[in-house]
Amino acid sequence: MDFFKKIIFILIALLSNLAIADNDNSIKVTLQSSAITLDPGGIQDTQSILVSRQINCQLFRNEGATFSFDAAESVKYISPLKLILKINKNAKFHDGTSVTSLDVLSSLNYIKNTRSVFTNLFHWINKIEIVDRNTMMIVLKNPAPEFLKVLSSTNYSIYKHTFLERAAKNKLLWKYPEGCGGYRVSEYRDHIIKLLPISKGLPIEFILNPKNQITLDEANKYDIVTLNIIGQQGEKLPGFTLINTFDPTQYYIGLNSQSKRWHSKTGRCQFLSSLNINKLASQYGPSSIIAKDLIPRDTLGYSEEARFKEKIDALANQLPAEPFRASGHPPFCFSYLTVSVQEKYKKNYLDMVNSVIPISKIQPIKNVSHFGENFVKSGCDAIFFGLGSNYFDGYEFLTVYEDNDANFTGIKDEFLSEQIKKSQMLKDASQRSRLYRQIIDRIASECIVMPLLTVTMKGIYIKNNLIAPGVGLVSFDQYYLGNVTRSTKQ
Amino acid sequence: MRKYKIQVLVERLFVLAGLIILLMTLIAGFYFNHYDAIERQKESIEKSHAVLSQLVIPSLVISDVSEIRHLLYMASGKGETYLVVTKNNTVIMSDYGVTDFSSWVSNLKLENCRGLEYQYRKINGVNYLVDCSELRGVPQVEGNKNLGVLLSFTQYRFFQVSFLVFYLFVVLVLIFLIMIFVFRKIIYYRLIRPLLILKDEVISVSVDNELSVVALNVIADAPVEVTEIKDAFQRLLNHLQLEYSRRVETEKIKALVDLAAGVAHDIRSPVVALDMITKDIQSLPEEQRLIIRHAATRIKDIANNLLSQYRERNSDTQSLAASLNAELISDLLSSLLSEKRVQYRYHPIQFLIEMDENSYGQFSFVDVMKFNRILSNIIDNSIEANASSLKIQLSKIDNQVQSKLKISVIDDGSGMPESILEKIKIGIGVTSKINGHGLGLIQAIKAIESDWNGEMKVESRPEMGTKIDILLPEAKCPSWFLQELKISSSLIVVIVDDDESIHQVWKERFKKLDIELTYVDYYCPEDLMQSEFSKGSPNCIYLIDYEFINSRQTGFELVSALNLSGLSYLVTSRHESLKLQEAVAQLGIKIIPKTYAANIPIRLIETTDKKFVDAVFIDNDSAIRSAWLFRAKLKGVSLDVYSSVHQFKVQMESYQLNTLIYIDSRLGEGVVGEDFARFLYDFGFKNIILTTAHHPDSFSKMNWISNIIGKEPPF
Repeated sequence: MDFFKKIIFILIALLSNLAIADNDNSIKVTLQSSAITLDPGGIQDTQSILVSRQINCQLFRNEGATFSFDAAESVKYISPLKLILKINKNAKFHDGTSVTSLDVLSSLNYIKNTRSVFTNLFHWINKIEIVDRNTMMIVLKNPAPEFLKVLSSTNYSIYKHTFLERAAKNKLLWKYPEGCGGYRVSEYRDHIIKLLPISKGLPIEFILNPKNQITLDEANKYDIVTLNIIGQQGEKLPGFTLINTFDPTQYYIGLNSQSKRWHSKTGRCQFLSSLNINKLASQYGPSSIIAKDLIPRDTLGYSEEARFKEKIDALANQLPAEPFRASGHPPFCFSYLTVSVQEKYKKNYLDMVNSVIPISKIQPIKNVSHFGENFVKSGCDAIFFGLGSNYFDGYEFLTVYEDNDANFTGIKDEFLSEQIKKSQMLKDASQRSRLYRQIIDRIASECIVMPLLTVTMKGIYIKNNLIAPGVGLVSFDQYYLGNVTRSTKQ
Repeated sequence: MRKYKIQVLVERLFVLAGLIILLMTLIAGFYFNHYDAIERQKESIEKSHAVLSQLVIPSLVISDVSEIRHLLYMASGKGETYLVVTKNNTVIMSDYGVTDFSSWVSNLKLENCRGLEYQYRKINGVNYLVDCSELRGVPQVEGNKNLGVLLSFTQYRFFQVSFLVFYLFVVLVLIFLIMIFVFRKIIYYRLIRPLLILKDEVISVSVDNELSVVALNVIADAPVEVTEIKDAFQRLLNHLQLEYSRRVETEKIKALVDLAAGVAHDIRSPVVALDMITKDIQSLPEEQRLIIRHAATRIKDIANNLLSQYRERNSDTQSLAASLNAELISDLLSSLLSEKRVQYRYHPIQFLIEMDENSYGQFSFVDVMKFNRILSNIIDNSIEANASSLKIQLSKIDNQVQSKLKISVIDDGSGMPESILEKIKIGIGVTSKINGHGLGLIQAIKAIESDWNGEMKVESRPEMGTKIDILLPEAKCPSWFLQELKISSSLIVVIVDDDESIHQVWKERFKKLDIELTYVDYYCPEDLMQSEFSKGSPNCIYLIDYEFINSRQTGFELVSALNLSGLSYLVTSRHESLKLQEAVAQLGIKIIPKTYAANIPIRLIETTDKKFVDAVFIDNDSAIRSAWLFRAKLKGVSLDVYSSVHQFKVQMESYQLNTLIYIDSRLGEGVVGEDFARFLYDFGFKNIILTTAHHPDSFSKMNWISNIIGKEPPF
């Protein structure tokens, strides 16, 4: 009897060790405080995109300088307006079933129906026809050179059509989506999301940090760190390798035109004009620059001569002074996206506003899904937010001014929306860029938003014992962690 | 030194040469490839920069980074990375995971390309060729403003081996191997194989066969040199075969001649015995004695003729320069007469030769060939003068100044008239061959008188005959020749000869002395060597033949081996051999020509009345003589001392021959002790010791001297 007890004890110990070893082997990745949503409808922040990237597959994948086939096996233009897409028969969902044309069509339709931003792709598409189980034909309205580039961005995941039908009835199912990527969600909680590989790769643990920052000691608990580190001297982090990827992000302050305070354009312009960005910029350090244009530097449509702030200043000076600080207004409400404003910089943002008008109320927004619409409805006066890019096109920064859930301005400018849509129908990038300028000028004239800072390069710290091939090809939120292996070398 | 086969040598040298050429070609190839690769790389980079700049600038103007990254991705390759640094110092590259370049560029804070055009830089331990192009906007559109720079990083290796060079290397190696194989075959079939065939043929060829025609046909296509060697060898072989045939014939003849000479030589001993006996066979009737004498003479003539011919045949090996050597005249005359007897054996003429007792062992300096020709001519003249008898007399004419040998040729022919005699006397030649006299006699006179310092007298009377006297100066007897055999009673005579007749000759000769002698007979050297007499004794004399049947050892070797030189005499017909003469002279041995065994004078030395002393000492220094006398008296040794050679010469015959004689090396007035010792040795004293103040090693070897000691008395 004792013998069997011993054996059972040893087996338990081994299994425990295996479990511990298994846990130890997982890749631990920090995430900023955010309401992670794996539902592609609405708006996804970069944290949600990173997690979704691991779970979902797409027809194509953006590889930075080029794109690669993911669930698709081939794509062929049979005419300037017709593409034949073949789906790879080996592309499988997590339950082992193959990805079919119907799944792709259902997924695209779901995104089209539920997302109000990044709709340019659907503007280009006339219709999608299923040819057979693995073949489909896309018919475009007009020739769209950017079509495949946009389709390969992170916004067009594929889900099993039956899952979409079920998820339509039960939104909670989006916590465990049935995608066709290399990972599936094994655990979804507010502060941690655990993924397990379908066939190969290391397990992943995404750990959300409510403070949006960690200490040096805490950093060593993670394998990949994307947060600010308290007490860090310079850029170096012992035991980690810094990878700076090109990931232009711009930070803005937007105003709610529906707020009583900002009914007058004059007040908006004078408020924005009176903000001193320099102090904020100095806090960010050399990694950021003061934004000069509505779209960040090194993004299609950017102009060095835009001088967005100067235009607002000029407007503020041209119009008669209006007391936006008048006592008749409700207390100043300030909102911000937690995913955009890191904790250590939050005070700087607030100070910048406080120096102009005292902030009476702070309203953080964790869920970015319909942040524009929600912000407008909340009646809050101003919002800090950041926008990133997938394929470095100005459209990605202008789409929030369309009539959609992301529009925080409260202005429904149909002409502007049309202009934005029209820009996506232009084949020539230069023409598109020029149209972007017109759109930006129109936005600037409304004094409804002002770019603050631009961060071109985004740094992530990867532990030295990790081998992450191709990590520099794309922005980190588009990187597939299934490629990461752990080196046995110490 | 290790020797190689031609095939191995050629192959090795070929492989070595090939390898060296291959290596040098590769080195040169690598060298030029390196510079060519660098130039091509630069050119390629320049073109890429030009093209890429044109493509990047429009995208850069509108900040289309996505397109720029796509272009950079397309332009980059293995070991080659392109990136753009905007004027705002934003680094645009296709893969930011390659942190080396982005960090390096960020640190530079580039504004333009200054110092970065075609520069070799080391980035994180890797060498790169860095190139930079400034990106400027289109002047008409953007006003030529600076948009940034395009940078390229091309990995640089000193040895850049393109695949082309690798393929070239592989092709070269293959060609080299094929060439080795083909050339090896060619060299083998065109050179090595013919040489090997020729070698095999040369090895297997013998004088009896020729080179194989089949094999020679195989190498008919061989290189000229090989064919020439083959032809030369063929000619050499032909010559060798011819020479071999001649040699075989010569050897056959020589064997016959040697056989004949051997027969002649061997027959001499019995002839000598026969000749000696015929003198004493008084009991036989005159007619029978004449028959026996004629028969003996005839046998002797045959032997002499054979030996004469043998000598002529071997004349090449004998030194012709020695033509004026001292020649044993009696021997020459005997041989010549034998020859003439054979020549005129069908002619009714009788040849006689008379030699008086003193004529034995007389030598004169003559040219043998010329001497024979002169005498032969004289005899021929006598035959032509119809002489029925011809007599040759040899005698010695003692003279106070110099003794002479007289050779008289007397015939009973028709003689010569006075007129011809007169002409001959005054040296006018007569050409008449009718009578056989003329120029020959004049030339004979001239040779005898001028060359040999002799005289020639011709006396003739018509119908009475002619007498020609030839006087030749007597030459000193050669050291190898024994003029007189001295013998005392009670001696033991050891005779070593394979011919029993010689044993009998000696015994007959000694028997006439009427003294008591003991004879010991041996018939081969081995018998003597195994006997008690092999050690030699002063009471013995050894008469030893030179050649023995069935024994390889000669009498000379026997004497040398047993150290019997002071007691031995070689009895041989080989006395004419110069080599033997020199050898015996060095060893101090005397030769008795076998033909003279019956004629050599034998002198009996009586020992009973001889003075006996223990030793004789000859020295010109009176103090030393006194010292020797004093020591001798002290030691009880009977010693006679002499102050000069002359003093001893007067008394020397009164001493027994076995007397021990000490003689000083330097006797004053130029008299050398060694020379006088030789004289004494020849006289018969065999125990001679040289005294000298010099070291014995300073003297050459002298067989007539038993020992060399200092001036101190040895007793």
